[in-house]
Amino acid sequence: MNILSFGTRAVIAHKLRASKDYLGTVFAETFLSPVAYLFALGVGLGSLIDANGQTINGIGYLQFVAPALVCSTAMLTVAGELMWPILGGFRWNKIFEAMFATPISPAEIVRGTLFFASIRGMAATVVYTVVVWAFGGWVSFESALWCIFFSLLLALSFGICCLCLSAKVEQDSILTLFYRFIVMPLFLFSGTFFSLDTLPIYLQPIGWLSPLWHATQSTRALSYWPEQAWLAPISIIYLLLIFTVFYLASVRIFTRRLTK
Amino acid sequence: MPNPVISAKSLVKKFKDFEAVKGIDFEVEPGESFGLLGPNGAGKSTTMRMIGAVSNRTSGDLEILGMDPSVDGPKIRAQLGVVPQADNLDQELKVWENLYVYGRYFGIDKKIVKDRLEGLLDFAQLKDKRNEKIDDLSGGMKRRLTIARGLMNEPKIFLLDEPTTGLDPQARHILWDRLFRLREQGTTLVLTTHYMDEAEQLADRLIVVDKGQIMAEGSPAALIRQYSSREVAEVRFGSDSNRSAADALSGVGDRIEVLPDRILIYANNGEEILSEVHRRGLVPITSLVRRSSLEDVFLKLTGRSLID
Repeated sequence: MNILSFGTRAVIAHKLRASKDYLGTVFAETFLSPVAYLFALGVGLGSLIDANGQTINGIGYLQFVAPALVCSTAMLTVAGELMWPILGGFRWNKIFEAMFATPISPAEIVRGTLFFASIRGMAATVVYTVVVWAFGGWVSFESALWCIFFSLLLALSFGICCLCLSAKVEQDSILTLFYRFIVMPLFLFSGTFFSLDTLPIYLQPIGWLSPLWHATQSTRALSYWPEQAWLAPISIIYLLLIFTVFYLASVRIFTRRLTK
Repeated sequence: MPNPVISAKSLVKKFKDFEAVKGIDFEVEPGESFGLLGPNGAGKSTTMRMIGAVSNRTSGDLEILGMDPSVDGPKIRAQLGVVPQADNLDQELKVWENLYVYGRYFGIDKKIVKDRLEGLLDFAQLKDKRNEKIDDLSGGMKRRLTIARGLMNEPKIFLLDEPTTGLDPQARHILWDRLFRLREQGTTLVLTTHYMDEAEQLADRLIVVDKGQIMAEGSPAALIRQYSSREVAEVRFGSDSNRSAADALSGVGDRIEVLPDRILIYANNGEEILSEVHRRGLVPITSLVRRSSLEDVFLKLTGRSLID
């Protein structure tokens, strides 16, 4: 299988072309939202915490929260691209039906759509990383690179979950529920704004299952806490496993839905 | 005789318990314009999707350009042009970009795609709309763009699923004219329609489909000859009186059909029939004489009119 086959590249090119009109809005959002978040959390809330002489495992609040903000941006961006637009592609504008009338395969449509969303997610991630740097949120250059690396893994693995679900459902109300009761809690309770071990023990497994927690916590471990670096390979395997399972399921669902 | 480009034998498609296509046989010759005529829900679109190598058959044999669609789907689709029932243009792209992006899916070189789309914009009479958004096009323009898009890969077979449904008469005629040109150029056309006039205009040969089965097959003229008389007299007596008037007209013409709103009397000479109606002391509210059409063929074959 050629991962970047001609059909896959054609889908990516198509989606990039279709999104160029709202590029300005996207750019404003990817730039302004991190500035606002970092200012409120890193500088505002962070200075309060730091002023109390408190650190999180020896790390200032801005440094603690930075990887989580970058990774969650990747996650939320791909979710936006791979939920309603996927259901819409089957039900409303039937864009997948049009693609499938050509020689390309359902697997190529899945990959092209996922890679396009990941490109968007990564663009947002890189902008965010630079803004974090301007705020002094990275302890080292490697730290920023690890964060981008884990954001990419997260974009692919969480993105394919969203794509899979959205290809399966018939109604957008299910997507609304998924966003409110899965995506948002993941964003809030994956050790994003506070360390996972401040949660009651029975809630912590939610964090361990969360792709976002793995991406964030591995970046933190590799950057600040070398004694926890063992987590990184586990997280990489975990994220790749999610990716593989949901990729195969997505191709199956797309094939079934398109060849009905 | 050349090999058929499409050959279906005992073709069946089931959706769970519902059998949408119940074992149909037909062949399409190269260069032919072949029609599937039938009411909504007859199984036309399902058949088209199987021919288009996007929907797998439940049983039976199907060969498109000598290949099996369940094995060589992508290879077959590479040589087909498809105009689906509902336009599925990309609203986020401009008119010309819709053609460009689509051409690229066939692996056609960028430069060739750009050259070819200019010719097709011309063909679809959309040259001055090339930079418009899809939302700004009329229904007829969208349809023509979808047709132009389907021609990007210079297909061997062009599949059109209800090409003019929902269009106003003028837009339909422009579209027919474009399709007529394709026919003249020797493109093999396969189209479904529930409009008799469209089938008569565009199809060399057609099958009449109802409830997933073929009711009749032939050229429009041959079908009319076989299943109907030369002319039809249509008389209206008002919805309450049609039934009793029909009783009084028994024996007039070759055959009488009583519809809710009118009575159809089939005969060789319609004017003579109208005289006979008056001779029997019946005075219709309105009356007219017309040539038999495929609508009459359908009525004869199924006992129902096409658009219920």
